Amino acid sequence: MENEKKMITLKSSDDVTFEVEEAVVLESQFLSHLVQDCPAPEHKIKEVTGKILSKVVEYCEKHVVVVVDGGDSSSSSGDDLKKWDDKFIKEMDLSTVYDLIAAANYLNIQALLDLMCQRVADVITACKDHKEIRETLGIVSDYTAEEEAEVLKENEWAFD
Amino acid sequence: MDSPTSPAQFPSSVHADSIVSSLLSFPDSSPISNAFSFDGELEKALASASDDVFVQDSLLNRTTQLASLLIDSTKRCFLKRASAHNSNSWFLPTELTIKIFSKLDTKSQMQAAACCTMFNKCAMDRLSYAHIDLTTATKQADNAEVVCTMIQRAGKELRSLKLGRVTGLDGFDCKPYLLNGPFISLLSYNHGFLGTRLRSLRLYNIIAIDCNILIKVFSVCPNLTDLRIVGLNCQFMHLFMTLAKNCHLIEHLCVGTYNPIGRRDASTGSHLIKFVTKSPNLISLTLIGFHLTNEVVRNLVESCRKLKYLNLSRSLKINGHFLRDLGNSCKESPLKTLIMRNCQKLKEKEVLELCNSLLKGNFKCIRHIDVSSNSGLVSDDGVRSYKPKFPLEKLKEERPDVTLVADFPLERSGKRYHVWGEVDDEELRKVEMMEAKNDEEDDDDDDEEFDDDDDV
Repeated sequence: MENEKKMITLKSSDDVTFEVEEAVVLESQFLSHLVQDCPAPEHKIKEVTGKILSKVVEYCEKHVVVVVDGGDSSSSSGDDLKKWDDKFIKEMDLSTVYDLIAAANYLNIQALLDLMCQRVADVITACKDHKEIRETLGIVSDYTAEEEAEVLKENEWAFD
Repeated sequence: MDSPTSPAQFPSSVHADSIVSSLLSFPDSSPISNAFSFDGELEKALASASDDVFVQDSLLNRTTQLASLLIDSTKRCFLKRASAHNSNSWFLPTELTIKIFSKLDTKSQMQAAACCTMFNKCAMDRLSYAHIDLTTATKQADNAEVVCTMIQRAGKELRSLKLGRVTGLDGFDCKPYLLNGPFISLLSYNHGFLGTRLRSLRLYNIIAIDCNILIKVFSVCPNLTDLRIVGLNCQFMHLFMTLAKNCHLIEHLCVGTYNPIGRRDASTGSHLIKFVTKSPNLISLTLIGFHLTNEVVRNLVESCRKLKYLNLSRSLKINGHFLRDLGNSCKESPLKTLIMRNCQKLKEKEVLELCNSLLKGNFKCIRHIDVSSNSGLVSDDGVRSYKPKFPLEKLKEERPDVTLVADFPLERSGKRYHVWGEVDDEELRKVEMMEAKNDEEDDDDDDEEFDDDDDV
């Protein structure tokens, strides 16, 4: 791997550009196919904004470096990565999380998709009941009174 | 005003439209005065319609009917707007919502389902039930029924089941689960259509479960790769015998007990070894609170060539002597993590031997060793040693890849060891914690006698 690293430019829907190593792009199934199929130096990703693409690039860069450096020989690198992931998602607001889920899904980056889905799952789990979930996620009830009563009754054990 | 004589006539949409809009343009005065004018207008309409009481009655009925239709319409309008609002604030497509829901414990999933119709639809998808986790549910009274319902909802997507209470016996005031007939027949129905799909089964502190039930469960779930049973008080001999017979794909096995039945233990050991030799995929083995002997443990490790993780915390008999033999025989073994927390009989000398063995280059793959204990180690003169001297500096120099954790008394300062991931670590820690509490009680009731009364 001594030869010069191949660089690839990604352009977001709002024309923000990111220059990344090829290895970073390979974290995404979608992008690796794209790069293979059309070897242009620049790739426009119409579905992802600059704000979100910067997060995606940040994540992929971090993960690619660790895998190359540590392999699976050192468990501390795994721990560090975990800590980095925790920090990465901690300060993120929910709407960014949703956007990242959609982006990770589109770009097919399974680890990022899982991480982000888990983040939302954790938010939901932390709520004590359905009312708190609604409040947290900005959801309102669109049940009729009867329907809601029925749903609550059907799974009565899940409500304290 | 229209004549009410032709109520059956269907109003044109333009007509209805103008009626509704004129209603909406009704002056915005106080409800009382609005009600007053409605009263007046209605009286007038009745009077001008007819003198016939019957006609007036039917006119009133019709008014009520129309008004209530309008109310229904308004309600629907509200709900539609609420749905629109929801799909705006939660814009993820159905398949991603389901992906998120599949990561929830089942209680949270049910709560999410109660939020709105969109969530309900997603939460009813089979895939959302692939991993059923009822350990967070606090109401357990009729959970056998709940378990069955959830399994039915999962159908062919069923992959993992997690039942009982992880936190264990403290405050275990609710009725224990009954994993009984319906549960088993559900899993075994149609040639075990559902049971064969199950990969992971975790049962925590389910008091009412007995070995006969487990034997039946295992015989319909041959494809388990991950099995964890905590707080089971039965004869483990039968358990391992059944596993050896039915489940050969197990990769992760964890069994934790509070009151091991010591007298049966010698035969438990041999069945355990039989199980291990028949499970070529086993990479992680956790046996907490067992009466295993040094001999059995040595045999176990030597019989499992793929073992990467071994946790023997709170073993009541082992003193660590087996580590000497393993040093030689398992020089190349893939064993990466060795946990022996709160092992009452673990000797300082043996841990020291282990250090020397590591320095010699044995246990090539090992990365993490934990011999911490609340009650220290046993020193040469038989007293408890809380500050044993291990060549930690030298170890750091010559085996920088190995972490030796030796806390006395055991501090749980967030030290991590990897089993399957973060959640598991937390659970295991809880299991060890509970057991550490019980340690004092049954300290000396088991001496080095091995009874062989085997009653197969």
